[in-house]
Amino acid sequence: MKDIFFFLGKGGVGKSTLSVSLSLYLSKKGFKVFLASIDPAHNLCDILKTKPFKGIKEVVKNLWVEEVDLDIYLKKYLKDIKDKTYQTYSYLNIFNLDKMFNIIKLTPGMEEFACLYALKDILSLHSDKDFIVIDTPPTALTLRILGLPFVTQRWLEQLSFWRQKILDRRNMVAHIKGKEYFDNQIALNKDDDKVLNELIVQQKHMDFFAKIFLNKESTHYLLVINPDELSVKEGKRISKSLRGLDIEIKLVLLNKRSKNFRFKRDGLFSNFKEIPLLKDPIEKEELIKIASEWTKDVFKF
Amino acid sequence: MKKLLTDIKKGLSLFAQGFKQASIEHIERELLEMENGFCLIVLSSLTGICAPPPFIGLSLLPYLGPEIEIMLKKSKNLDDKLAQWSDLVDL
Amino acid sequence: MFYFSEEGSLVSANLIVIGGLILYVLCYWLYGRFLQNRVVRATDTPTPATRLRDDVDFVPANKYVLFGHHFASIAGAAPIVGPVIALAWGWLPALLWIWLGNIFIGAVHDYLSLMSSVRYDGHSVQWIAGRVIKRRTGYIFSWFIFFVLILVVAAFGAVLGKIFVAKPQVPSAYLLKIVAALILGVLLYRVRMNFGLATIIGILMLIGAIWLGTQIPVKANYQIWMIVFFIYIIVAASIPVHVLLQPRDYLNAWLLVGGLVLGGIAVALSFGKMQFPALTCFSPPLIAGKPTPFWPVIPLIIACGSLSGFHSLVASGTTSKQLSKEIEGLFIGYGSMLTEGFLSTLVVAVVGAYGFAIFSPHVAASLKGDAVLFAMHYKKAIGASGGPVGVFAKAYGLAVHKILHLPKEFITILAAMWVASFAMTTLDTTNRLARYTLTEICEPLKDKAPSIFSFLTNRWIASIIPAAIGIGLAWSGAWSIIWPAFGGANQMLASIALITVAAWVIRVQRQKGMFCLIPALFLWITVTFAMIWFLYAAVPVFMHKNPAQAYAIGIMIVIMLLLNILLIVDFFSSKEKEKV
Repeated sequence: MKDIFFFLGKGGVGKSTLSVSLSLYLSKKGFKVFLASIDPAHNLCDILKTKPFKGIKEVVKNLWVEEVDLDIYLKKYLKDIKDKTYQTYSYLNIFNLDKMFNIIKLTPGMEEFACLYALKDILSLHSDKDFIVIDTPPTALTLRILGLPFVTQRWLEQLSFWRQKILDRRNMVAHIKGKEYFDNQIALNKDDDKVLNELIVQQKHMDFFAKIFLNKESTHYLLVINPDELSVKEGKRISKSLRGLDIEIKLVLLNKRSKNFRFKRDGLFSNFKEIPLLKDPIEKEELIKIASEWTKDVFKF
Repeated sequence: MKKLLTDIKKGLSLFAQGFKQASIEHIERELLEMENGFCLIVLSSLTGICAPPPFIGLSLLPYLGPEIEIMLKKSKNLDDKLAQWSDLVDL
Repeated sequence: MFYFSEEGSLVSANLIVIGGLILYVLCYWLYGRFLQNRVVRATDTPTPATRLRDDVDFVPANKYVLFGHHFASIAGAAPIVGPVIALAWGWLPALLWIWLGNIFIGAVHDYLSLMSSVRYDGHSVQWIAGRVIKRRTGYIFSWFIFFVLILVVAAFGAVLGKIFVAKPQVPSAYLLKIVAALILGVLLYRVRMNFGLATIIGILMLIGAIWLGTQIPVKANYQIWMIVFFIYIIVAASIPVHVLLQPRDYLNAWLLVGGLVLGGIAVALSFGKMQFPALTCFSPPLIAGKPTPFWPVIPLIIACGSLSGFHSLVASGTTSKQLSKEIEGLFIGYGSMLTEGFLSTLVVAVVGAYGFAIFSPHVAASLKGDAVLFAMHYKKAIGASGGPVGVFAKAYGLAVHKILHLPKEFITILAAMWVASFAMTTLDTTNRLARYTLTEICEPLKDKAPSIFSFLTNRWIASIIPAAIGIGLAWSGAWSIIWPAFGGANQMLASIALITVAAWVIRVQRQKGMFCLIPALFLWITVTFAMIWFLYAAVPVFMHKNPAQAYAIGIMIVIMLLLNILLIVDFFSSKEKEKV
């Protein structure tokens, strides 16, 4: 896989349109492209003028598209947990996870986790593709998604550390009182401890994401804004937040450009391209043409 | 005579048991509290308290059975902790 | 007045010990069984340990192992220090209190605290008080506990400071013992050496520490030791348990066993006669140099060994949750207190028989001759010999040396280390408990004054406050004033526990609670009078030299007295309501 593109921006600025434009352009050039929307409010199908579909479909030659159903991912995850729990502790009925789906879905942190879960699938299933293009949700959720691996890494480090200390002390007690003192469900070794192993697995996942998100060569962040004050201000905020994660915006795309808009050219706008306002209905050829314009001089395909 | 020997043996083993207990009781107590705390932190995120991201709690849930039991047992006695630690003091 | 003849009295040390043993065993069988059958009515009902077993807090334990654990928890430095001081009245009154006070009040208190807790699903006496008398009785408990925790630090700190200064081999032996504990911790918990082997190495290191301590004393003045104790208290809480605390406590267990066995054998074989007078006078100048009446002050001097309020918490805290059968309660609750009394008896015997020989000739001269002179100068004599710990250690050293022919200096330091080890443990563990107790006391502030609440219950502040007050009191060096203050707080705790238990017997057990109520009221009256006397006679003297400390103690005692009155009022007023 060569590169990943993340299209960021407020709702309605034209992320989906521009992500489609890039995908069509690249697939026309002969590259294998996978375009996914993890925005709960999908509109890829509208732009591509196809009937909505579930799962992955090769919409045009070399272009596979998916409007990711995050609910399915969450349900799959919870079923997995439920199965594992009932496998080991069938008497532990305190959490009836099926009934709790709606609550868990809304629990702070679960939406971004589902997105990461989906993203992991995408990145591993489609590593044979040349390019992956991601249409992201509105910025608040996207920032949380991008930040989640880093926040989680710290927690996982602490919890692993604490868990090792617990295992340590179990061994101290077992040494004095004999190994039979502990129920055989209670792990004494690092290798037997399912909790520690799970923590390590999660750590690997988060490290994987951190690596990808921070990869300056092959991960590109494209920020889409509109010619209005609010959009520009928000753009600056996003840029600042991302800098806190050590992520730089590669390119700012000023979409729906109007002649009357003036703005200060400063840090945020050192690297930007303008895209004119397109009139409905927008044809595929137009989108391809636009992409060839704004990718010129920035990317070498 | 045989009974005396078995009695002495039993006595010695009790003696040893007592000393083993003396050599590990504080660590054991600490272990229980650590397991309690670990579980509290990990699972409290499921109630929305600022804690590790909730998916960590969910992912670990299948494996935290023993710790959940400890947590529930300990929470029953939270209103009477003072006396439980008094035997540490050796007055 | 009893004078003693030049040859000493007719009573030999081992007679006293054997007499005490017989008395305890007899009373265990007669009075103890009476309590068990008529008052507690021990049955086959499953105890919380079996009924509520969770293998976390509730787990049935073998009665001998549990006895050992309970006894080790209640045995500390106090049953040794107290009797030494109480010899100012002569060994006979001291023994009478250790024997009769223990059998009829102290052991009853321990046993009934244990059994009432067993009947209440393992809840503590404090919790029961809240249910059986009034809600706020549980809260009053916290205040008494808090003061005990502060004053015990003051009392032990003062007494330790004295011996550390008088015999600098003791602090060095103790420091080396800490090193031994650190090494043992690594061997046992990190390297995971075979348990028996590690234990033997530990014991050898302990002996080595004592011997080495005698060779390289660590000299410092009293104030420096106070500062060291303060830092130690604050720091010890932050070190992981398995590094220092656990191995140190394990070594202490062996030290206790060794000290008891050596002492027991030595006295059992000793025909040395009691040199100290049997009776001196009713009010020798003891506390603050003022004439100290035997009644009501004796419970303040000899607490553990005869009666100690803190034991009710130990019994109702963990022991009650591990008792396998109700009938084993007598052995553990009543029996271990009697055993502690036996330890105090040993102390009286050893010091009474060998004490004279340890005083410097000039000091001994001031004591010899007649009982009244003895009484006049005894307190000073203690002070001149390294405080109560010094007197005990030297007498013990002499006794074991004479009878078992072991090196005197080594045994003396061993004895001092024995007391010091237990006292030092108490210093840091009480601080942890005090932190928690302070939070309980400040509970009412949580809504009314939240900022003060969060300040006081901050982890560091809550640790520093009790430590600072405790060491601050000890700074004055006035062990003869601080010790009875600690005893007083402890006995206030005993009286509230005994009253709670009496309420339980009368209201819940529906037995004639006279066997509880009479000692409870007797104790309440005694302690109240004792504290009033203390405020009146001792505190003003203290005020002269150390006004800050005097005020601190004075305020604590006033608060306790007021709460004590509240307690008895609540007890009688809630009598009408039949609480279950």
